[in-house]
Amino acid sequence: MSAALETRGLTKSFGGVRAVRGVDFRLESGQVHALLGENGAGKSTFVGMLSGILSPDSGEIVIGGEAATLTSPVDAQRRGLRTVHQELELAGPLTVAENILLGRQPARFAHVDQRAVRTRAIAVLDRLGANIDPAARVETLSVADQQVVEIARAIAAEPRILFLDEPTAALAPPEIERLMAVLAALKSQGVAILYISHRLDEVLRVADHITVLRDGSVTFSEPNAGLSRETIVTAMLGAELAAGTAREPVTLGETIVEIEGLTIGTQVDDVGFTASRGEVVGFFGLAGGGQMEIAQALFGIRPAQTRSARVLGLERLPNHAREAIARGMAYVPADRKREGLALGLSIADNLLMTVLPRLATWGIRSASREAKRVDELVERFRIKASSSKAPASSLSGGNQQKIVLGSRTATGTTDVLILCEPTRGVDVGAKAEIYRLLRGLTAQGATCLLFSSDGDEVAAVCDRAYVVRRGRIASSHPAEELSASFLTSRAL
Amino acid sequence: MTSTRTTPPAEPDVATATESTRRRRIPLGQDLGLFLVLIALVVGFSIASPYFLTASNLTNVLQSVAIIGVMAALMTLVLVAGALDLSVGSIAAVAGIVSATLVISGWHPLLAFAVALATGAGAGAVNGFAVVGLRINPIIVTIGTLALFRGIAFVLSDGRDISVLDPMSEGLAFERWLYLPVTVWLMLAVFALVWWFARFTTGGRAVYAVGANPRAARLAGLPVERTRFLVMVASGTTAALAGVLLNAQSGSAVPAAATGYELQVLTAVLIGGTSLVGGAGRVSMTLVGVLIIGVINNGMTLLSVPSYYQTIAGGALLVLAVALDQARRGTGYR
Repeated sequence: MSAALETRGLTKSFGGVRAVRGVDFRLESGQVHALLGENGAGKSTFVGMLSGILSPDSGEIVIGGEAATLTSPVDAQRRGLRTVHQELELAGPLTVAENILLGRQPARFAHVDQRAVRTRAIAVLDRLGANIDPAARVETLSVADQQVVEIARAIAAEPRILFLDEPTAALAPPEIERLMAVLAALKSQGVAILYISHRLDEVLRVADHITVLRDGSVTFSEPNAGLSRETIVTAMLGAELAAGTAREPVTLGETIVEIEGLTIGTQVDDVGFTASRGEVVGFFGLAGGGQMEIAQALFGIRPAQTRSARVLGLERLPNHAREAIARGMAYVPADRKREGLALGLSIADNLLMTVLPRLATWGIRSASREAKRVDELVERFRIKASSSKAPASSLSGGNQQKIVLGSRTATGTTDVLILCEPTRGVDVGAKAEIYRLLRGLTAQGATCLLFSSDGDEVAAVCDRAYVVRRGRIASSHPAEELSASFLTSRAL
Repeated sequence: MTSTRTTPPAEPDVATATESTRRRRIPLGQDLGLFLVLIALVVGFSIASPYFLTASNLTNVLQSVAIIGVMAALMTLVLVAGALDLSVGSIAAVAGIVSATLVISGWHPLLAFAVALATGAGAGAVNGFAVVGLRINPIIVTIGTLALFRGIAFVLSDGRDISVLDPMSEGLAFERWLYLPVTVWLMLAVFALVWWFARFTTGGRAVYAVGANPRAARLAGLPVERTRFLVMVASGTTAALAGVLLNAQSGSAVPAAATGYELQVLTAVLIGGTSLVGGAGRVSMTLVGVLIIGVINNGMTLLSVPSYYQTIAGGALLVLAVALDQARRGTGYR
């Protein structure tokens, strides 16, 4: 019997980095096949190729025994393949029913039969056991209900192959139970299901077969019969991962960050931590675990409540970014293209963004002082560019990240540096340099708070780390205990 | 160590290298193209009409674009900041009425002009408050105030024209310094000031950063809201200056004055290559855009093209300018 979907030697590179390397994969009809891997292991790239969003560099995709060159997501859908994405892709102002049948409305001569839309939507929702009003506008629903609508939309197309990317991330336990029941039903109808999730317990329960990607290659692929968590975690992270490299002993200065009872909406609940001069403190959590919200609250760009807070002599959290910066804080955002850089502006413009007013006299710029500071920053941060007048968009990810780091610390008065995913999408060489720069800052008495979902990163640079799990601090560990596998097992 | 900046990248930069070659713009070639368009127009009209290439007619061209020029200089910054101001024509009308009313009621003209400019600044502050304080899209805000300020102009003047006879206004319109009318010098001064501001002050760079990526600018500690607000205020102020100049040139304040000027201003700015999405644009090129519009209008008038057709040409030019801008950037309305 031929597989519902099969790949042979599937490979995809981005700018010299091979994100997916020769993956052979087989998804059978009537099977739930879980795909696991750390952030950056190549899962999204792999699924992107299977759903027609990305085109492979080499290798082939076989759907239902036929070699397929997927040209677009629509092409993939035509072949009976549906994807439920992690990010919701719904039309907010339309009703639940309209969303579920979007593009497939029962119609006669372009006249949409609204009653049929409603009946069919209800049928699909009933299959999911969901109690959602089909006439409600999607934007008025909770995120969990929206997730259910998204799944309902995929199922309404009667796909032969279904991709679920983190489908339970937003769901509450009873909804997860219902989803599991739906998956079992779909399975018995012969649908092939590719299931991507971080939640190991869930995967071990639902999957018939488990495949693990690590650094773009398959490191593990076996039927789920008596597999243990440990086996899978090891396959995801690699057994030989060093438990933190040797680092010089740090001299701790005064404690300059003390937070108690930090609560942020429903995402973060009663979190407390401290940080002193001279140390790099990690906050590790899986994507969506709440650690990024903590970083934003600390910098004053996300409203939050605290029982007590002391940051650099301020007896509360800063109210906005300007106040935080004035106090000596700096923030390196996770999404450097959207929040870190003005890509269209030059490298020099970006580097000087924060420091420009301090180099000017009564608001009038000094070309010589600016050029000098740019040269200093370019050299200190080893930014490789043909000219500082080139647009920031012309640089590689690593060099862009160095610009963000340089720009935010260009004032030279940074005492608390908050970093979110500082080496995401950055090559190995630049990673090492970024780590070196953090060390340089702490040696001068700054505190670095590193918020990351990359266990290797936290293990490599942090002097100690908190594990954030579902909006709470689950545990706190000294450097000796830090390793990616250990952190991940704590955060799952 | 000292040569780190020019070291060729050792790491594989394949994707980013191709990306930069694809997206690299050639500013010089683009500027040259714009100048060539201007020269071609001048040559073309010189051949078509014996009256075009004369000192007095070229002065006419400059004088006729002075008013939209004054507005266009600031509109460049408004667009660079990622906003838009469609209410400039209406603000000019209100300011003109205010100035003329005060002059005929006996105020010193200079004082009247100052109050008119303050009125423009106030109108700009209304726009700025709606954009920054109420977080409404600037296009919507200024479509609203386009009507609102126009209505105020009619209310203040009771719908009537007001004659302006003061010597100050006459001087503005007819006096010359160094061969050029005062109005033209004023326009050039506004351009020079905006150019200097954009290039040599921290405020100017903040405008570019805010337009290029407001989220990054905010996280870098730039005053995003204040920048946007002040740009709208400045736009209102120069629109008011344009209104005072218009009074002087036409000899009267008319509540319907400067109707539709916002489109000409926008066209000039977009021809000059300023991006509609913010973050990019140069005031010097806006001046070339203004001249192109002036030459086209003047040439068509000399060739006795009926004004209806001039309106059609103006509209076509606006669409063409945006099409060129997007083709250059490889972006579009999707």
